[in-house]
Amino acid sequence: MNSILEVKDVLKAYDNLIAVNNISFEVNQGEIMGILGPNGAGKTSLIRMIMDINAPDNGKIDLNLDTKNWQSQVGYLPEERGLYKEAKVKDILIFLGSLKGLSKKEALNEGNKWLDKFELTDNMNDKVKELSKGMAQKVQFAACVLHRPQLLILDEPFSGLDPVSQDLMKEEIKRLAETGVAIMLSSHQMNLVEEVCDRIFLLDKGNKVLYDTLDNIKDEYGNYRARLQTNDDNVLKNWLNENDLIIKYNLYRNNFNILLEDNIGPNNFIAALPSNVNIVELEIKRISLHNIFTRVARGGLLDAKENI
Amino acid sequence: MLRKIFKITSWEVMRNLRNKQFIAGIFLTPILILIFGGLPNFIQRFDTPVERSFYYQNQSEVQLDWSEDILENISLIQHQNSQEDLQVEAEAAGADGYFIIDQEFFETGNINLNLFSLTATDHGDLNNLLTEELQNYKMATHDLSEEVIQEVTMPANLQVLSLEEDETAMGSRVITAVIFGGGLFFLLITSGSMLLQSALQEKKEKMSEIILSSITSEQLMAGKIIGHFILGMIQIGVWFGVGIPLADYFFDLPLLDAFFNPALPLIAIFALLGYLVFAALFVGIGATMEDLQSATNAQSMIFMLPVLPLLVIGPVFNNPGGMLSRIVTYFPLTAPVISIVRIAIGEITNLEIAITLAILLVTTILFTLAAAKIFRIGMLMYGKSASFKEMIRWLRY
Repeated sequence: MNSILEVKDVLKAYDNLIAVNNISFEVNQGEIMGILGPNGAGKTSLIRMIMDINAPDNGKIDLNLDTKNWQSQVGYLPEERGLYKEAKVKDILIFLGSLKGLSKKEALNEGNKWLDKFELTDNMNDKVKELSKGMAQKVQFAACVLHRPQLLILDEPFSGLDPVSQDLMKEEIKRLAETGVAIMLSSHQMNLVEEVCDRIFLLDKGNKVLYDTLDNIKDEYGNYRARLQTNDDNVLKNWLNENDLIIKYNLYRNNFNILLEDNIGPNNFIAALPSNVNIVELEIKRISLHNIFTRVARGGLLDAKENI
Repeated sequence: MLRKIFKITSWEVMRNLRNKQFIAGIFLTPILILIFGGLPNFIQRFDTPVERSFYYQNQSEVQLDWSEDILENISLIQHQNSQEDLQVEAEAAGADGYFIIDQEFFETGNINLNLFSLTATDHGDLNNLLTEELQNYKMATHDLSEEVIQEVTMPANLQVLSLEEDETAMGSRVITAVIFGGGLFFLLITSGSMLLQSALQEKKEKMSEIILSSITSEQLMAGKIIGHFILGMIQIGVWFGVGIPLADYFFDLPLLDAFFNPALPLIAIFALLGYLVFAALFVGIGATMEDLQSATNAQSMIFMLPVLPLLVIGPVFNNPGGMLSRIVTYFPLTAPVISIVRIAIGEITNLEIAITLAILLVTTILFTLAAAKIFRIGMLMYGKSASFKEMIRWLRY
């Protein structure tokens, strides 16, 4: 696969704070690369350097695009986003399209296509202040893709959207990747984006935590987790405290959340369960990306409240 | 590079030209200026002048021989009775006060004016009347005849004649100074505040980062500055277009002559540099603020800077070649308006023009570079206004 974006050993510091610490990765044509991390991980700093809004203190960012006119081949949806409230949707699409090199006609044609997908065609002549927040976010998305970019950078694209709109947005992002667009997607909502990303770069406090395909990460770090409900806590507790199949467990509202050892699968666990444990409910799943992050980056406990 | 600047410029211009507030502002501003400028004079016409009256008693041996014609709205009532009665009667009659002319007045010139209240403060006319009487007495005591006294007290009749040009040409130069100096002053006030609002709006509506993904911060800043210059020129163009024919028709003022002044190209250069200095200041400061309400003291002070020339314009008109005029000509924030006024009046040397141009050029370059640095960081800062310390740090990046 052709790599469209290559980030090599990039470092950025603000006074005494290292926001991005020697980070390297690439984004290939047709893939969705997720830059994930909690708030303050350095995602937005990294993106602003890629967009040439800020300069790195060290390292290199290469875009394998027409270097003279690279900005017209990149689409960017920033985290802090808005639209001119007094302007019409049509005028904003023409203006932002023109900055990317589109003629008025091209911007209107492409804008219409995207508004049609989001069922907003009738709002073309509306002022932004007349739109709902969700509608405005869809217009923002349309504005950042109407020039058919080769690289699309989306910073927290799902924040503020209702579940239906989130699903619609996920579908459109996947469809764009299928057409060959290289997509870099940043989010702190890890469980939401693991459904769309091919590869993941986990970032914490400016440092790399994990960087691999989602499958490899789950194979390597995605231990199984069991949620078991029983009406005899003591029997299960005694067994959990004595065996070596599990890493740790906790109890939350009559549910045992159990993190299994690396090489222990569902079959091993079920087979080893003592026969005198009265199971009311049992659910076994790989742990979520969020828990992988918590475990690898912070060495933390399982999030007992997480719905597995 | 230039194409993208032009796109920002045309967006700014078109967005404002479609804005009802901007259109209303073009027409309402001069109306408001006329109302607030002319209203006090208009209201004063309905004021009846305050009539004042003073009682006096002549206790000296001198026969008073004065003409009360020089007193405007003042009446003097001579009192013949005792000094004790004078105050009582004057007060009972509603007079403003009283005074006693005694022999000591004709020797020392000292005299007390006793007022019942301190509301009336201008007693210049009364003072002149008493002075005239005193001088007449003094000259008479030196055995000067009436003819000689008249000769001696004959007033000078000063008539100002210019050897260079006629009065009309001088008037035309003052009009040129007022039109272009005033025009630049209003351009700085209106376009400066619009630029500041524009940078604030970009931040408030969170558009800056989206735009900065397509163009550089320098292009955005340049586009805004040029756009608001065009908007300012449109505004002033409308004011001149409507105001000059009206002034010509109603007041017979030759305002159009100002546009044929040979110094016009030089005036235009000063106006442009002046606009650029203030535009850089305002766009830079706009990028450091969250909104107008959160402006810090330092930021608020910058809003006041375009008014500086107004504070010194009076003394400059009175003495265009004086020390104060020269100082404010070299000070970059007053230089544009003051230089234009002095060039129009013709009271500035070529050396002063050259030095001021150099100062303004350097200031424009420095301010623009500093504004670009602040603008680049400030436009991406959300949620708070930058402190003065932060702005200084940004300049070092």
